[in-house]
Amino acid sequence: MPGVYFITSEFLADAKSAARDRGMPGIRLLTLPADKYYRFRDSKEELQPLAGASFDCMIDLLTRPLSSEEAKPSPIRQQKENGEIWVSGNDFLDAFEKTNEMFLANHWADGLPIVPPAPELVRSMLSGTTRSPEEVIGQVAPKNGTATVEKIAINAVMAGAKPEYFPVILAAMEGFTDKGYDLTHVQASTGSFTPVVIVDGPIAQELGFNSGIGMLGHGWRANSTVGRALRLSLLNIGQTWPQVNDMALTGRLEAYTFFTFAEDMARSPWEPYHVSRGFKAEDSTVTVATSVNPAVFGGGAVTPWTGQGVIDAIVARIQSGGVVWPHSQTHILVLHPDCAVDLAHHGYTRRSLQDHLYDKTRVPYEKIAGPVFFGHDNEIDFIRASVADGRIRPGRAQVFLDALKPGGRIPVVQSPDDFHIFVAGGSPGYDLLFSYPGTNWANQTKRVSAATRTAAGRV
Amino acid sequence: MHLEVMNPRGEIPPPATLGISPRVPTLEGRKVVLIDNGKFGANNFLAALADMLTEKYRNATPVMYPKPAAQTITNLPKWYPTVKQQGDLFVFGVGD
Repeated sequence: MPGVYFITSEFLADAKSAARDRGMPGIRLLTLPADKYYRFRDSKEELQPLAGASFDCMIDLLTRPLSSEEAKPSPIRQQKENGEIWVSGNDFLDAFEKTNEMFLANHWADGLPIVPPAPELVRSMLSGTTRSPEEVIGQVAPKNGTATVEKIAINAVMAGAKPEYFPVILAAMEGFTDKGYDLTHVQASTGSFTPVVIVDGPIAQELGFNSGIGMLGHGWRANSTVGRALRLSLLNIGQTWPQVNDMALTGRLEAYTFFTFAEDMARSPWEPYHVSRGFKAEDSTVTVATSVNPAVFGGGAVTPWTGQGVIDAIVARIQSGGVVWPHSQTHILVLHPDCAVDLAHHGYTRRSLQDHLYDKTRVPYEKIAGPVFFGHDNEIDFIRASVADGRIRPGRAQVFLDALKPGGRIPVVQSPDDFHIFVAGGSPGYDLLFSYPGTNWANQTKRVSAATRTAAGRV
Repeated sequence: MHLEVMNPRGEIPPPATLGISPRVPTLEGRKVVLIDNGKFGANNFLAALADMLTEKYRNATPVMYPKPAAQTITNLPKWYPTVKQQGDLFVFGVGD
């Protein structure tokens, strides 16, 4: 079917890149000036000048016969990403600097200095696991790059990770490349979504992950380099770059290390998160998820707080988001240990807290019978469309359909399980809400395995 | 001195390349499917185009056809084939 794509000028490189990725380099694109489109899109009347200015060109693109290259484009050849790379310098410092300059110029680095991935360092990283270097972990969006164990090891070396961290990094990459995880969205979206990476099980303490005061900050090599290894792996294996096909308008938060930390299982009044998900207590796991900037709750060291007060504030925050978007919204609560203990003291289990959040965050039908919503007449139609095309799980669809009437209360998530509760932070501490009003699912937990240098994660 | 380093990039299996569909000689008598990608303003822009289409091609029929969800950019296998059923050619906008 012949057609033309309108894009704004800032997305031209992104559109061409995406078209090529999908084997259609010849699609016909028409750009609108970004500085005018985004300012004047509130009404049809405001956009008439832009439509008028582009109309003749649109007709031309729809009617002008194809060139031979458009009709039958040349095959896209595979670019080899292997082979020896030698960097020459007057001395080690010079070669080190030239390596960093080359990597950044090639878009192979994140802007911070990297550890040059020398073969002997990569072999050392690979010794942290029994997995074969040729094993394929998965394909990394947006360019569908193949993540082998070796490629991930190269990026882990660059990040400054230790070999004993490598099995954790591999488990996280399994999560990111799982077909149930929408990696494209977090890699490419204009929204500044960022991954959250949470380690559970005995390997967290054995590797020295911080789960207390400062857990989202600097100073702990495990937190920082595991996060950075994942950042570099996604950047290099997925082949993204800002302003080309990573269109995060203000950049991704925690761009260098993501939000990487461990659950404080020792101080939690409940079972560890991974046990609640069906893993054994002796397992070690990594949970990866996509989030916006976390919201902060509680009084910390400054003002008094209660566990119930924190939960009530979280409920109010979720409700104020204004968007039901139930087909894939997920929330990660990270409660500092004292808050979790207070909630448990008042009778909450992890399960009852999830049920409480699910019930209290439901939105009245009357609040969503509102205006045009993402191409639909209103949010009600959007939810019905989500049911019809299967984005709401079949077992939960009826809950939403039953609520789509006056007096109904529509859940913001598909089930209470979509409130993921972790315990981490210090005393005093704050409580965090990582939310994702996403498109598709972006939450996976994978078991750490095949470790050689730790007692945990071996099997 | 010489420093040997390894390439951190993933190999990309090259996609099969596809040509784009042949064009139509004129829009007269054609149904033009205007696909709203769900981002704010797209409906307004496409509506402005629809007005111009009917003004300049009296026998052309614009058909507004929104995507089911704005940011769902992957895996709409059931929906995309339905676009063909709506008309003869399409205009998709506005990215992003």
